Amino acid sequence: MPSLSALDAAWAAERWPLTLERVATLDAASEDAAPGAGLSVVVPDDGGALAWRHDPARVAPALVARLQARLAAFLTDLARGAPVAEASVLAPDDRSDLRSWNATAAALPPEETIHAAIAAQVRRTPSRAAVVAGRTTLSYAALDARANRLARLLARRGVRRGDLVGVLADRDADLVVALLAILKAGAAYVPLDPEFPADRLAFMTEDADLRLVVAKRRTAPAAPVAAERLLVLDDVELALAAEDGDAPDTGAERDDLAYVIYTSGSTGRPKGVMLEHGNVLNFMAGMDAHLRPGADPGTWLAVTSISFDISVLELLWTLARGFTVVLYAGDDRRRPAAPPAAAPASAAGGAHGAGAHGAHAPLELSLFYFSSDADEPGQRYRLLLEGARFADAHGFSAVWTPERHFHAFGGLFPNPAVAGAAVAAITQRVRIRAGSCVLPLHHPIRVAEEWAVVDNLSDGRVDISFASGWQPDDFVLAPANHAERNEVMASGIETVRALWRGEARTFDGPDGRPVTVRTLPRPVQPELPFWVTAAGNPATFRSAGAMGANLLTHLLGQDLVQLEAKVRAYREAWAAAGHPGRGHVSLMLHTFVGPDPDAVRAIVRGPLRGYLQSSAALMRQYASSFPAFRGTDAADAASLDAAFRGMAEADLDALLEHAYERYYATSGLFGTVDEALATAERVRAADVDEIACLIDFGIPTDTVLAGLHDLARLREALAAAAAPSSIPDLVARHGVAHLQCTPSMAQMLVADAAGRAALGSLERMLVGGEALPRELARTLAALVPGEVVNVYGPTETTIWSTVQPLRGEAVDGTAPVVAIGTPIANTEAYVCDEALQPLPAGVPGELVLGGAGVARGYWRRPELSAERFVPDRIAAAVGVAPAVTDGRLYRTGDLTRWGSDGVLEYLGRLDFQVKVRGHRIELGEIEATLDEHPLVRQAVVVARPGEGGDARLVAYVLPAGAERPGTAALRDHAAARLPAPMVPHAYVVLDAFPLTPNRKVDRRALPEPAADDRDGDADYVAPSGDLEATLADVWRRVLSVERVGAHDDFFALGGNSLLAVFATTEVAKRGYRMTLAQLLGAPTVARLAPLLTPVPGAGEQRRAAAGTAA
Amino acid sequence: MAMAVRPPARRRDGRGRRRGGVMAVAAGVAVTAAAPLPPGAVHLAWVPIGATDTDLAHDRALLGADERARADGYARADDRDGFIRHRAGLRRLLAGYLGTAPQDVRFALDPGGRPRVASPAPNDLRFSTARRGALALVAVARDLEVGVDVEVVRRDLPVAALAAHALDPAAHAAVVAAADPVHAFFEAWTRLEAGLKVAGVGLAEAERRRAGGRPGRAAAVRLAGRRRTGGSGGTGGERGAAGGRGGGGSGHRASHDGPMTTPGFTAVIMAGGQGQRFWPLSTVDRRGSPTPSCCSPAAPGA
Repeated sequence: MPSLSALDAAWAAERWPLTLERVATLDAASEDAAPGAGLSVVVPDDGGALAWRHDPARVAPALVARLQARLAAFLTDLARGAPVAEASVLAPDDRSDLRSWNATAAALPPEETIHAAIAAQVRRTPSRAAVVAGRTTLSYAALDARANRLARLLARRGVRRGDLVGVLADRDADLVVALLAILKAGAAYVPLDPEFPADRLAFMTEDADLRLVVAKRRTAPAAPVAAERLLVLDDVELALAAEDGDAPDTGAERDDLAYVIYTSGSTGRPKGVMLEHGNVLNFMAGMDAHLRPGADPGTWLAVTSISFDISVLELLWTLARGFTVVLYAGDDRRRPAAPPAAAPASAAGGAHGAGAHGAHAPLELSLFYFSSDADEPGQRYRLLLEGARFADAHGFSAVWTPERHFHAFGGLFPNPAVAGAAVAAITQRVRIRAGSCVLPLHHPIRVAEEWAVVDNLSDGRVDISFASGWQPDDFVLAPANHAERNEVMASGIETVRALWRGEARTFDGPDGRPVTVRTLPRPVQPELPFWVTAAGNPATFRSAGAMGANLLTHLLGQDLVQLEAKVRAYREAWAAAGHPGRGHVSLMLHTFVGPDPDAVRAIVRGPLRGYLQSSAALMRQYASSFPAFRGTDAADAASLDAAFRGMAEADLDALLEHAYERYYATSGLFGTVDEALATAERVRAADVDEIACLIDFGIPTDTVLAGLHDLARLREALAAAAAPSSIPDLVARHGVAHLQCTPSMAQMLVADAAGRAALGSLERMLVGGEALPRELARTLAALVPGEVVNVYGPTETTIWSTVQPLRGEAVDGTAPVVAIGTPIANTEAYVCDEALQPLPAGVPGELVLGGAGVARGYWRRPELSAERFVPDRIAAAVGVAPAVTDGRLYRTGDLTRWGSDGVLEYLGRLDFQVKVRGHRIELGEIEATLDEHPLVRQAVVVARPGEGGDARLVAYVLPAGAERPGTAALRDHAAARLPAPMVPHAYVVLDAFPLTPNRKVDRRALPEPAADDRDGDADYVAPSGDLEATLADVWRRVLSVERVGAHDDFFALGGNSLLAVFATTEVAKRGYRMTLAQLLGAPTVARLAPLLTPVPGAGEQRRAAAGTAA
Repeated sequence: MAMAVRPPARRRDGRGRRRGGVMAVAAGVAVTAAAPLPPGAVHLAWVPIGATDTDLAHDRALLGADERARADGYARADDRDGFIRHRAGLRRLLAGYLGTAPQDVRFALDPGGRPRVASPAPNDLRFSTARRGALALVAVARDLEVGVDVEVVRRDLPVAALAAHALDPAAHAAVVAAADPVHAFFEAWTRLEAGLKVAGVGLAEAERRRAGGRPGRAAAVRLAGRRRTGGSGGTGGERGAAGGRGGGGSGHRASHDGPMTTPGFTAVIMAGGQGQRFWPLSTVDRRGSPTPSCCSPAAPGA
């Protein structure tokens, strides 16, 4: 009888004893409540009337009157013939309370859709910054135009009104563009978090039947769809530019879907919640009423993954109301600690560098020596050696030296192995690279040997880029190889790598006799990391990718746009061949960075002009953009060269100056650190991994060395730009005034000084998504100068459904968890019993929500939808305004209670109600009790399956300070305050709780308690007899455990084959013979003991062993 | 320029026998299409088993009933969770090669006690896996027996006694004589275990054979001895520990400082063809980078 249990609960909650007295007649009853009881209901045997006797000091007369009215209402319903389950326990005053608490009718925003609401804001403040992400800022107008273009492109790719489109994007400005564009295209978005496990992504993609997935280049590999259903934002810039910047009209309306968010199901299968534009517009109305954004509401820091619906407030409501939204890119704590392919990468050789391309891999810088023809006798190698030392100490990734023959230009470096050996001897960490080794000029054995020496000298830092040769004269070293040099290089690479690996190779010896050889010394690296040097030929890029080679290239004869396309082809070929990782692209650029832009120009002008003049090919390249040669085919070398020869000196000089200007602007890394940073970002955008900085092109050595400091600053800036900013950084940098986060994240902010400082500058903070512990609420209220609001709501009723500002009673009250407040606009809230009957104030029950926020249901899950979304019969019965209800209610599964003031109190999840020894237990209550312990910052209690279907309670606590609370202290604390069945069985002290991507405590990821954490162990059976005790003693030692019972399994306690051998030797020491087979067959002390036989003559040992065991 | 390069894994030596080449495979990556694994190649992958690497509940759901029961049998939480993550990772990896879903992979033991994929059948996939501490490795090949073993190099064990018991006399002597007997023992031990896995011989059986007065018969034992006689005796461990692998500043190397950097591991991967011919492919040093072993693949059955 749920209704009566409700009465019972009301009394129990008030913590005064109720007695039922049976008397023969009322006359016989005393006038007072029974001794010790606050209230006695006196039931006479003769029927007719009940007497209520109460102690007015403990029970208010008004409450007794209310209880009497509820009983009267209940009895009246019964008298009318209502089934017990449907009889109401609401007194007329309770009904009127519920009506007033649910009087939430409010006007909706005028727009039909979310994107229309944002478009209205675009018209109001087109030039205001809308989205700030990293170094990108989009104004409202720019955001709108870009989203319009993308919406049109989506339509071109087949997206229609009503479709579902997946979003698998990084947290950058394009994330917001993508969400908005999908809505503008008339479709609904489905967040796909790149951090989710692959099978979960695959399930969601399949289940949602996505028309398209919008991704970034980095996240695209995780997209479980075929290429034709994938749109990679980095790859469609040109296509976007071609689209119209006006909004497409798709005719979407309020009841079109806006997003489908997958949430974890209790069955383990995620379910998609379908939200409509109207749901979100109503939510906007609710937030408008509570948060009252003004005309210029300031900056909001958006920290939440889009797979958590509260991001809709951060990204869409804010943009409909004129906020500037700063995107927090997230931390790395949930990412795999290292890109997985990388660890054994050196085994694959070609996978070298595969791991460097994670989310935030910065563009690397290395030094590349090519040498000019300006000779500086006496200090020819000073720049090489000092530069290498500098590179080694300042985070540069490599030092490259070339192979050049018979020419002053490059003349310092005929053999990169020799130069590399010198660099190896004076550096500790930079990679030593041949750039390039012209393989057709040499015997592969020689190359392998020389570099194996360098590999040993450098302790495994050798990389080689192979080239096929470009200077025909060089082939005097191996004339026969010139014609087939590409093929010779390909097979040579193969041979060098095999020799490097230690494989034997057979070559022709004297008289055609085959000689099999192996390379000595053995190199340190098991596989040779290798590059292929590519000029501009796309085929070389593809073949390098196919063979798993890294790539070295330059900007002679190709520009960045062309290079980007070739790099893409390289990556595709790499992936298609099945190599792990994605390869590494190094781009050679003439480099000089200095503090003064004009000085830099002055320094590089002469040497660069000299360099350009020396290269006919380069002059041809730039001539085509010179007025005199416009329209000339740059490939027509002969006629151009003839034209050059015929030019007047002044004209030639003008051409040279033009070439220099073009080269300076487009093909080098020049200028101040900031200017070079902009260039580097363009290079990064072409998907290049490393700039190989060519530094020795004729600038005096001292000038170059001085400039290296600025180059190092550039490298640091690149690394810093790639590193994600913290929340406190962003708050300070952007003057953030508004923040919404989960209590778990708030807890982390409170925990460090920078976080507290950030909280100290907020005008408003929303905290929600988990129960808000009172202690944290107090801390936040004290730290945040503005308003702190506790918000509550399931995804199924659109983001937040109730709101509780943290002031007064909400902060100072005594309940361990802060109240969740009152329903927002057009939202009904009821606390119901199991028969879905509304309950009055003070009675715990399931929170049931109705109104304009109620979702359409679960995607393709009609049974589940029918179970959780039920017809609203309560509004009419109670008399709630029809304007508020939409005819359906959502059962939240949350346990709540109305306070007498109409404020909802959160008591916990109904799922977290567990049965322990037959008692119904609220985990939230146990957590709240542990939270009160002075050494505890936060507690989480979970029920783990135990014996016979009973739950075993495990408490996880974060210490409040340096001192860690002990198990005994925690148990005593709980036992003193909670009934025995609610006292946890095990206590685990953690430094941090695992969090879900949504930054809630991930209860499922909490570790199992170790054996030591267990509070007693009913299964323990002490070993019996000397031999069992001896064995148990051996196991304790071998397995490093505290206690070994007679029936504990050796392998379950952590035993393995090595420890089994160890146990065998230890048992032998104690005078018994035990074979591995015996241990494997009988892995418990009790089963093993009877099988063992004493070693003859080892009695002494046995006695000694028995002595130790005792 | 045109490249005519054959993948090393397909190369044959003069006698026409396939040679293996170890190739690293990304860990934790679910391969959606069947991954290319040419005959003769051995792929080595590591499985991320750190506490925040994977969703434990999700991983558990991938396991079979017998695996879950085994997981539940562990007394220590880290053993249990490591087992769950290890098995789930193994399933993900194999599923990539098999073109199936991780939870659909069924295992069986062959007559030699080696684990096999029973379903989907038929398949020619061979694999071996080992986990110790924070390191879980998987070796995968086609039509080629593989064995992998990994140990944490513990300094608190009486290695002389263990070597006397578990290794053949020559290997035992080599361990005792080594400059670092502890490391030498663990190297010999992982070699022994990896070899046993290739051979499909249980440890108990190997012990029985040794005790039965037939030292040297068990292939793995002989192998362990050969290891000592053939090489420098050093491993990549010392080199790795010296920090020569590049610090965090050298971008593409920095990733080596990932979960596998916990010092003090030894691991061995072996592969074998027909009969009892097998050879060590690679030793994983303390920092987790495979380094060449002394008896590299060029000398099978030598």
